[in-house]
Amino acid sequence: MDKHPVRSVLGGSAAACITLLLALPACSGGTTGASPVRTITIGADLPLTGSEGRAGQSTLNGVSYFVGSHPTLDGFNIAVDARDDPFSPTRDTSRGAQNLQALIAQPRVMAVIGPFDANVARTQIPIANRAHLALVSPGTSSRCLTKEPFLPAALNPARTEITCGAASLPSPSELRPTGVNNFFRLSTTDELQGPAAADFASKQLHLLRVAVISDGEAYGQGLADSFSARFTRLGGTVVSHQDLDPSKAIDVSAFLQGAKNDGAQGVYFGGTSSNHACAMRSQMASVFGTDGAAPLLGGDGIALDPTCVGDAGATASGIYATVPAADAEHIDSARTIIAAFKTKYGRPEDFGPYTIAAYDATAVVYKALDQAIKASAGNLPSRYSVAAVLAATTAFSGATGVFGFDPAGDTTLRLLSIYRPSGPDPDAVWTWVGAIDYSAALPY
Amino acid sequence: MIGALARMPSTLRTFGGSQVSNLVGLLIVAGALALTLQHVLQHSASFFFQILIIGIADGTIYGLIALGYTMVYGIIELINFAHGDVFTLGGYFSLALFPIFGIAEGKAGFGYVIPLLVVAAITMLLCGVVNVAIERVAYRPLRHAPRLAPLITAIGMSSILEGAMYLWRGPNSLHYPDLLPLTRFNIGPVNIGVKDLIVITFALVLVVVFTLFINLSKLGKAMRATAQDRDAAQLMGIDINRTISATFFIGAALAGAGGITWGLYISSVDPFLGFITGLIAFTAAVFGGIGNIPGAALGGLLIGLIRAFSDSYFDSSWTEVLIFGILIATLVFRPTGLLGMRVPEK
Repeated sequence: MDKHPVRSVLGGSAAACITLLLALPACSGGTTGASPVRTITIGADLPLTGSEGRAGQSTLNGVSYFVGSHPTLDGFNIAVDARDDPFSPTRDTSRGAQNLQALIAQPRVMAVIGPFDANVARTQIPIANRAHLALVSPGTSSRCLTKEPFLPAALNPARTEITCGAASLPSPSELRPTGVNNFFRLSTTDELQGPAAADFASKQLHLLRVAVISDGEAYGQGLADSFSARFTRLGGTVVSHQDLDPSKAIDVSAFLQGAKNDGAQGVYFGGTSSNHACAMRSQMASVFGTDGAAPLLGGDGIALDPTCVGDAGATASGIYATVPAADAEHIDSARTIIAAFKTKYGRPEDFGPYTIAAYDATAVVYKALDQAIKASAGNLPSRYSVAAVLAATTAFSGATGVFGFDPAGDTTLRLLSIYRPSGPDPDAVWTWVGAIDYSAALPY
Repeated sequence: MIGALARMPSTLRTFGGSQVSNLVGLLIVAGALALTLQHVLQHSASFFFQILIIGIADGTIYGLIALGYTMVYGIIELINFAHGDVFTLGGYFSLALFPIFGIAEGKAGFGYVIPLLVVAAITMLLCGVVNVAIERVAYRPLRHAPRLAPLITAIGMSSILEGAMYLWRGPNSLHYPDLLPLTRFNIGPVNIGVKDLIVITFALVLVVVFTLFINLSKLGKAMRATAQDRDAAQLMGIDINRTISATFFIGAALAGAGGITWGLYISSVDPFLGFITGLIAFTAAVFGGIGNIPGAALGGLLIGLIRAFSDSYFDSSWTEVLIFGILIATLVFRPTGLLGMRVPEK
């Protein structure tokens, strides 16, 4: 039995929990009559402190808001047990493992919303898999968490597939010792980021010739290759390609001059801000001109990142970057929910890019719980049955649209968003410029 | 300064002197030049000149760093691995000084010339002081120890400086303000950036002033004498410690100026920038003839050009293979470098 059905590790989520406690007299110990306390707990593993704290906290708000609006389900009180899993620059995932083990130890935890980080997911999926506990992640996009290969042959200009092993990542089957999937996610996957940027470059920016640079890491090379494959298929030309050494300073003036000479109108960079993606922007300005007309495109390694804007300085305009997730604020069906959310959570930092994804993740968990409870004649269902119902989700009507999970556990709502910096101020929120929807057909 | 060459392993020099190895070296160079020419002819002449200017700009910065390597090697036969990090420190110091002098991005103009030069002077001074302190703490006590000992402390100092910069400003690259005008103009078919010209001029002026200083000043003469024969110089009344400190100071000041120039040119610095840039500059120093001052400047220029041409005409993935291939080839075929001279064995 839980001593504290609703637990919070941070003051920021305390408000939500107080609301829940008021709504749930049974949770606070005030049981009525002789009926036993019937509680189901939804766990959450998110970075509530540290560099990702703000994003994690606003994600948790999505969970808390949904549970606060739906405090009971089929006679069960629903509680949230949120665990802090701060982002670790050293990629230490032990905190995520400890959190998950603590959640598994509670028999009433039926599903976990999280994690936020793909490294943590690689540690948590096998642990949760052995316990048949469903993990529903609002924001991880590393393809190898769910699918082989890392890069399909059709997205590689060399026409060979790159396996997860070749990208130094464990394969999905290695992460699932029981062989049954227990990991589901609402963001789409990284291999679609390059194609989305290619579609945007070709159809919106009307670029015909671009140069492609990667930071030389598996993530960046995957992005660069998938961009090249899609851009070429759309009729564009990749005039030159360079894989940088991520450990080195970026001095690409001569490469850019060569690319410009070959007719390049812009540059796609596969990689991260920390690997100097946006630092090359001012070199682009001195080669291509200062009006920002030659765009620099990239993925979520630079998108929404203050470091990128800081590195680009005065030359930040003309940067465009993809995020493999829907931007709920630009989806009509989510507007009323966002407005209602904001009346309850009034501070600007309460709402973040994954708030509504977490809201939908919680909603789809409720739907699975509902079916599983009914299948077990109103009793506490097994974790296995909850995960099985989740896996069978085909057309769930969420705030962001109608979605289901494919056999690997990925959302069928394959929406990507494109952003650009709003100006040279690193702390300014990026501006949404459009979405690419691959739900109907994959770009390869 | 070239006295140090005398102490280069004699086996290397013997091998380097053989007709066959010279011929092989010449053939390699001729092959590389022919291949480059073939690629150059496939592109327009204006492109060639644009790459040439990028190469010269990069090369003068490498030259500034290479001078410090070569001076220190010349005088105490130490490859000061911390030198590349002193170069990075130049970028970091100047970044910290900009706000004090009211320098910020977006308002570039002639009003910045004086503050920028003042920042450059203070940065060079600070880098000089740091390098003198490094010499005092990590190299001087080991002056008579086996040569491996100061080499190891040099690598240690390099890591310490990188760590200090990491702790100071974090692991990510820092944006260096775009202070130089990005305007470009045409001379005939050649499109030239004002930024390139300013960088080249600044670095060239420093190299020339420095060379004059070494050749004409009393301290310069003392440095050359110490490099040639430390004991004899001491007997002539030269304060060896002071002269060595001065060498470290001047080398670091040039590296600091290189750090600022790099920042202004590339618009980005990070804590580990000095490692690879330092290695490339060291290659330039060896290529030009380690211990030889005009050699370091020439080596820097050539390495900059090779880099720019490789990045643009060939696959940039091969650039470093090429540069460090040159390092190996120079050591094997011509250990005295391009301008190095033979001096009699003592």
